[in-house]
Amino acid sequence: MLGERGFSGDKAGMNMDPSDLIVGVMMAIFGLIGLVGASGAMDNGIFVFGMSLFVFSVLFIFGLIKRAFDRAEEARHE
Amino acid sequence: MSEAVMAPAPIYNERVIKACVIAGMFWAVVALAAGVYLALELTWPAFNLGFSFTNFGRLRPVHTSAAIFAFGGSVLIGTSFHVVQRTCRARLFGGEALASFVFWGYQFFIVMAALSYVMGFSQSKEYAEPEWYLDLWLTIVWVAYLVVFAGTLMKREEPHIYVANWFYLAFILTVAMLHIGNNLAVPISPFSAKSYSAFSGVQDALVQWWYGHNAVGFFLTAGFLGIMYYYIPKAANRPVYSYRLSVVHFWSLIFLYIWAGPHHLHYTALPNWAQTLGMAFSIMLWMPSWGGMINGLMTLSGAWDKLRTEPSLRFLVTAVGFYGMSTFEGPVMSIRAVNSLSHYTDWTIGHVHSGALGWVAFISFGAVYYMVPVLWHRPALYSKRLVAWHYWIATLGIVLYITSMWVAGIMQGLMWRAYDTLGFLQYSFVESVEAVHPYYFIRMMGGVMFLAGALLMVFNLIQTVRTQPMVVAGRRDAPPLGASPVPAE
Amino acid sequence: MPTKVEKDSVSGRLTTGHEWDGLKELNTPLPKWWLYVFLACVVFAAGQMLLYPSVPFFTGYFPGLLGYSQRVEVDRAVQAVAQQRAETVNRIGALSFEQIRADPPLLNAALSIGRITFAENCQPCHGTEGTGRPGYPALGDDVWIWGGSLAAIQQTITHGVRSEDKDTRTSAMPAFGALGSLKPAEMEAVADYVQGLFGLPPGKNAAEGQKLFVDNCASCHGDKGQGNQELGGPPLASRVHLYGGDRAAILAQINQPKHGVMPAWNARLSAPIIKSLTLYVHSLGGGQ
Repeated sequence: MLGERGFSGDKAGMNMDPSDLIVGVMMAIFGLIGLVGASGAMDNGIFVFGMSLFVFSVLFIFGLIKRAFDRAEEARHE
Repeated sequence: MSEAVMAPAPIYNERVIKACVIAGMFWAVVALAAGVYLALELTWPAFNLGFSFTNFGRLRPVHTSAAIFAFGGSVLIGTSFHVVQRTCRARLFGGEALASFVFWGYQFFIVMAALSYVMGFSQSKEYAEPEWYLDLWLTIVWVAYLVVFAGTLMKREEPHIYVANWFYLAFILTVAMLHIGNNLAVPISPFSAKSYSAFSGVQDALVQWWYGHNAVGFFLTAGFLGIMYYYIPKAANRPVYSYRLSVVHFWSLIFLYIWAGPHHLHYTALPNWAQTLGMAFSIMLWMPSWGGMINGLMTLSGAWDKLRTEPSLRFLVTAVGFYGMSTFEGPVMSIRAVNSLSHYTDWTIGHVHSGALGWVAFISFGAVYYMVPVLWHRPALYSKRLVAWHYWIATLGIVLYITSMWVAGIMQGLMWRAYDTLGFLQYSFVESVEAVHPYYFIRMMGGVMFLAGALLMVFNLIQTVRTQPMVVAGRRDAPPLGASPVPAE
Repeated sequence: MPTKVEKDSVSGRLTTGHEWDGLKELNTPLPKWWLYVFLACVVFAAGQMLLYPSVPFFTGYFPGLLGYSQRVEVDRAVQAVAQQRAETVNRIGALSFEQIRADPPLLNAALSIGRITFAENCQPCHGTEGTGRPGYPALGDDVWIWGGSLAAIQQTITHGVRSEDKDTRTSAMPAFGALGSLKPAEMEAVADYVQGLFGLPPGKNAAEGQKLFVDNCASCHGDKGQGNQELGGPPLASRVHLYGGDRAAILAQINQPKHGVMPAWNARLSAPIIKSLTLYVHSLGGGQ
């Protein structure tokens, strides 16, 4: 079942879910799409959206990383 | 966070639900404030201020999207995650990351959509204004939502699926179909925000109103019936009135609703046969909708006295009452003869808001008042009296809103069709605009009251989290309403 | 949770035996009234679909037993209204303005028709009851560009101003500034003079301006700024101004003049209706 320990990401000492990896990669792709879109933008609409999507995905991925480390921290305290 | 150290780790993913509750209340205030501002603009056009981004035309979709998708959507996602986990006894499928993506991705959609409206972009389809790139993004988020929800159902520990979840699943699936269908469009370039709809003319009108009516029917009805089916029996501590009725009304509702779209296009270029079907199916829809109302109200048998002591239960029950009213008014307005008077008038606005304020907002408020103490492990709300004040101010606001719009709407309809003895129109359009001015003012006051009530609620909820002590660690569920050991006042 | 059917003490009903998070359901049967009303609605809906156009198929649709058609209904309604209007409208069309005015009930009818026609067609530009807006002439005053007699008003409404009609009224003021026919200092002088015509204190070089005015402007605007209704030169010696009453507006118009467009209404309104409109506009207070 997803979310249980034992996934290989645990070996590195990090508490990484398969979910984290899949969503993280997805967001990275979206971030790139946003950047590419903004770079070729013909109007303000796409420009704003593309840049915002890039920023959003960066922040989201940072959040995923942060949470993985928080979980590892908690695990060490138990 | 101190909470993580004190309380035991929940087996349910409550973090995303809490986020949805907070976001939902935030967007409620935004949506209501935008609505009040629009009402100001309609009453006194000077409030348009002469700027493009404060113009009525651009702010209107900000209000409708904030009310339906931002407020309603956040509440739906939050409550659906709460209900599906607890009635399946399973943690959300897909891990924390996917649930987090559903929440944040949806919030991102909302913010980007509002920004695009204010910047002047629109597909000019009601409740589907966001342009193609935002539609694509929403589709991705929605698929993730479906994966989380359906996945949780599939890994359930309970043998059967509770009725609330049928409604939630129907809502999620049908909204996906409607969204994709209505928003089919060809962008002029992948690097441009603008696109051309795949449909045009009266065909486009029908696709739009197939979507538009079912946005109301599945987003604002089926989804919120899911909320009703969990939170009313929970808050009243009574069993659901009739399982059999829930089955029959569920299937008949989701079958019949889809056909009702043409009733938005009576006496237009839409072929007569389509109008007849829309009217006929809308009338058949009356009792299936009332099935939900009956189940909601009759579940209170044996617990009516709780209405005196639990103001938040009043919201849930009143919501069901308004739901019954709106789902009677709707079929009535679908009748062609009635529609010939009501179409394009403010009666339609009154009808929308009796549903949006009376049903959708009230059931959401009732659910949130229930959820906050539970999710934040508080024994009770900060102040029951504030809840009562909220209830009465908001109800009065709704009454002002809908009665003023009924009068304005019928007046418009009658003025527009009045002929003098010579056979010429009695009134010009401008005269009908002048005539409804006082009612626009009253409607604005109704909206102000509803907003004031919501602000009371936000204050109450913040104080609940800030000042109430936490329930003893180890108890995962707070006691149902009415059994709180620590009085809040 | 194993199935555990219980009896609910309040209603006397049994539960279905299932439980989710403490929630249970009763096995109450469908309320009879609900079922009957539902079936009645189904019967009603079936009736609607039988009587009216309903089911589509590839080559057409079931037209319904009543043979109802929305289009036929609209045509009938339009015919009925036309018939209701016919007598009065035909009389107005047949009689001259003098004859109509000599018949008070008919005149009232014409004014009533004119009022609503104006409100629905002319008000967006000319304002309610002809109060006018910047760029759109006021009709309730006695200052006319093309003439305020019944015949002149009728002509203007029928053929428009700078419209696509072949008999449209038209005039064109040269762009004195933009085309360089007047130098900036000369335009300022003319403005000094015209200010006086507008009722403002005249400017410093009003005398020089007057000479330039006589040479360049009087042919259309009249030597004293009284206007020329034949040519469509607006009167300047008045307190009513089409594009604004201040010096900046005067200079702007001399430099790069604006020219308004009024549609030709003969395509949209019938002759008797235009006559009624004419009588109405004339009655607004400024008719000549």
